Amino acid sequence: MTGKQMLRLGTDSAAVNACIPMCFEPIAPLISWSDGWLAEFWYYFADTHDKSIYSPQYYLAFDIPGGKPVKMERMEDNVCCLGSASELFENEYYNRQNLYLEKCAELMEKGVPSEEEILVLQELWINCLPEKFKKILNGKSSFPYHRSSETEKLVYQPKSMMEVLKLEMCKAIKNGDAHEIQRIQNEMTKLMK
Amino acid sequence: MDCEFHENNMKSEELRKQLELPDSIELIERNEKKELNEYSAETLKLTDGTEIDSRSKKETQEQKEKAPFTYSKDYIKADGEYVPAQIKGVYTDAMEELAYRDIAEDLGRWEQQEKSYSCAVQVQKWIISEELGKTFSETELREIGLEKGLYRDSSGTYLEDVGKLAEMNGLNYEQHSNLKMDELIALKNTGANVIIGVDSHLLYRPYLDKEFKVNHAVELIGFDFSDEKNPMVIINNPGKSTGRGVAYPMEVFERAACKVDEQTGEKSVYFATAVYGRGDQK
Repeated sequence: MTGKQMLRLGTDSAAVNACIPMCFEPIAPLISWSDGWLAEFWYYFADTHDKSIYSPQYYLAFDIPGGKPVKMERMEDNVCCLGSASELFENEYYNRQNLYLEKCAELMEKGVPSEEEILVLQELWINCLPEKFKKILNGKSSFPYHRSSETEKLVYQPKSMMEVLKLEMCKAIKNGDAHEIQRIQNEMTKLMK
Repeated sequence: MDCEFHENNMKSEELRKQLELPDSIELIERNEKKELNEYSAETLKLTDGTEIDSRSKKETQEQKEKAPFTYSKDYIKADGEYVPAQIKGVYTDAMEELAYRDIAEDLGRWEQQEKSYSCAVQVQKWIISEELGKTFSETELREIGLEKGLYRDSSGTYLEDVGKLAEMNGLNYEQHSNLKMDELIALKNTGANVIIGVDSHLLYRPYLDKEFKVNHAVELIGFDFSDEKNPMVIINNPGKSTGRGVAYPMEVFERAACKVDEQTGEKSVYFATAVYGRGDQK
């Protein structure tokens, strides 16, 4: 899997379209190892007018290289504006991100990583974050997330099969049900053809 | 002569009313000598190496005489943001061509979105209000969206829900993905109202080496093919105060609206929702 393909999991996949509102962007994924590779995406809103960014509001994790979504969380309770992030509007930021993703792909090619190699990747990941996110990370290895206290209520009846599948996908990801996720992905693919 | 002048004035006023042109847009007779077009001399460079010269370098006198609209200057701000050309005037003779007339008619309905995440709601508002002949406010539609789980003030709209507010108001919609540009043109030519998912970072800064990700909704109102070598895509963008009738070179629009296939290098418009009026066929 290339670095770009990893990034595309978080920008263009059935799970993203189902679980992440369209206005949100992912940070470069944190790639880690725990009996298999994991790509963790945090999603945030960037105001393109005043260049301000807001703390991450959504989380989606995929196993790689399979690309199956395995976890989803909302972090909506303490969202705040972090101020200006003008680096998001310059190529240097994307170049750092692309370099990090290439390193991830290289390491994944090699096989099971050592702890040191994972720590190096983590440092590279932190280095390619927007400055404002580095500050709220505050030395930890991932952004805090917790289940939103608000229970999602179904306030309308889905009218189409795609809507039903979307809701089922969110539930399956939250429950970590890999078989169900695969089934729904297959159904969504059939519907879109 | 006075009578002829008066008659021409009446015709212009009538056409202005028919098109529902906002006051900021001029209605121009082709034989009027108006030098409205001022073009920047800057060249825009995209990440794939494409360079886009300003229109002034490319537009011949003949093309100027065929242009359906006059545009403001496109330029690059000091902070690197690309400011596109904006329709400033409409030539009366171009209104005989349906595609250009449709664009002119859609200029009047633009309004800026009211909330950070309400782009898709605002765009649907334009379409619903126009098709139903009834004025909705964005607030009204947001409240309907909130109630029906289609919109939240804190997060906006899911991609798959774009079009549903229109559907709730009796309009049909159809979502499309991975459209080739000629398919998008054909879709627009059916008379459908077309909402496009774009990456606003790339719309405003097409030179960024950023992975495409839809994060904003705009309305495609048409194309200016009067200069075949330099086609323009015209949108109403709810995200900018100057978002009415903005025209992008095709390459810039593709950068902001298309995914590129890694294997083939082919571009396709990632997401489009066609909303049909009650009398339209799908």
